[in-house]
Amino acid sequence: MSVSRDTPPAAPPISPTPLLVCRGAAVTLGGTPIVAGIDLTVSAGETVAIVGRSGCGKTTLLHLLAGLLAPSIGTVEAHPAALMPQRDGLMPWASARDNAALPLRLAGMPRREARALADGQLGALGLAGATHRRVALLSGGMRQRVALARTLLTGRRLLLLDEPLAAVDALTRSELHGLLLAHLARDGHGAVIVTHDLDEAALLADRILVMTRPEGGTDEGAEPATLSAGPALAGRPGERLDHRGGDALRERLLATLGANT
Amino acid sequence: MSRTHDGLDSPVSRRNTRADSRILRTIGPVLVLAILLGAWQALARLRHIDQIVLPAPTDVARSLWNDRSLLTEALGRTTEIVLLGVVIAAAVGLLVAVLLHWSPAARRALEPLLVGSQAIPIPVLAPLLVIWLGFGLAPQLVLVAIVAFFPVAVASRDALAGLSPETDLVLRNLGASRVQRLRLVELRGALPGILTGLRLAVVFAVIGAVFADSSGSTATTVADPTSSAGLGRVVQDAIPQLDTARAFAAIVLLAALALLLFWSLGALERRLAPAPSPSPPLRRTSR
Repeated sequence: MSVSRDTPPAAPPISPTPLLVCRGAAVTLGGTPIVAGIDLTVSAGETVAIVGRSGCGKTTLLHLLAGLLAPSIGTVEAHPAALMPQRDGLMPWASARDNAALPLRLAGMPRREARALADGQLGALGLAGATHRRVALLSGGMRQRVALARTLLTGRRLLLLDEPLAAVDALTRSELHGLLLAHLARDGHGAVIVTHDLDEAALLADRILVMTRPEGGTDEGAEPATLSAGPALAGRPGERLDHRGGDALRERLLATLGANT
Repeated sequence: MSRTHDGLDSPVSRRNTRADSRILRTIGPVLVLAILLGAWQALARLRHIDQIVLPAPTDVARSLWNDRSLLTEALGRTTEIVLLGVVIAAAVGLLVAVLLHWSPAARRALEPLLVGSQAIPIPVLAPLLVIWLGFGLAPQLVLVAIVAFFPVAVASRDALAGLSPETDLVLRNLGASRVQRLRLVELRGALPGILTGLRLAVVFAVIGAVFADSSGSTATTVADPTSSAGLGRVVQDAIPQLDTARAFAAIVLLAALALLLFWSLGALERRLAPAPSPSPPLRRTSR
């Protein structure tokens, strides 16, 4: 078993090597197998969506990919990844800009410079008027955008996003989809996005993977969840569901989720 | 208070309610104090209790005025000891908290010692400190700091450990070092807890200063090395002189000092770490 992670700063030159390779990885927490047999490769320029029922182990999988959990079996080799946790993990006492600027400050950037960059990123996410406001006073959707700004400002090429837009209203979500697509379309970037929203998965991803647990539920002693390829997507990310498989795709996805859980 | 037909407060009535509650908040404590003082005065005067046993509030007030020069000087000394002691306690308490936060081994090793240190009676400790450190400012400051650092250490340690699991995930993902975590995130997040510890510490410090004063150590201070008495000494000297009113006057000043410092830190806490929500809590509307 081995886990290797490159050290962050200077973005490595774009190479044909994948951003993430996970081979036969499994996670066991407190004696309970959570996920197993995970084989996943994410190449530069690729976005992978993972869909699955609540509690099936998607977040555990992201933590494994982020290097926050060690595999009990198998290997995970990855470029430094930026994780956006499901609950935003923001500092409620700090302003939106200081939250977004956290990765820059941790990288040693002076406060003034970091704040200026954070303001720019927050502005791009539609929060130009809220940069000075304390996060505790922001709505759920605004907080999620601050967390997204913080994630993007890490400058890391691999993004691991756990339900990134779940709390955002429909209109803002559609704007943010565009922004996320533009960010991911940049050379050498890639992402793994966990989502409950099948439309969102179809819109953003090159591939959809389905996470299922054979016996259902997360009860102790239950079988671990596994990852399998979902139905193939037509067209390119950014195109509407109609162009990517339409209702047939959705039905096949639901059938895969339903049939196995 | 008027209410609109749908049961919601109109803006005008809400403003009135806010003003009402502010007046109530001010009047409440004053009223309680007035009732207590009135009862005390009545008890002392109507039962003809000797002033030596229980001076009436008017006797205490008279002493506050008549002995104002002595009391003011003593208050100055005590305030100095308390403030210096609290500064030392805050620094030591915070350092201990960080050590306990960083090292589970240190926590296991030091915690019984810290708790045990608080069980040592101050009247026992005070003369010992004089024997070890001599007369002067040092034993007094050490005593006040020993008494006051514990709440700072405990409250700060708990507050430092109070980071949300998600923020912890983010910091681990970003590869933050211990020092970075402390400097950029944890200390600021722990500020309300640290200030709560400090508020308790100032009250403990006032008690510590009284014992330090009455322990036989002469209260030599930085400002005036030849001076020798804080409020604790005033109390101690007044009792054998049968001047109970003066002892009470000194106690009133001690309470006022503790309250003032406690409130000041509360105001600082509200300024530095305001409550998360700006909106007042929802109230049940009744018809």
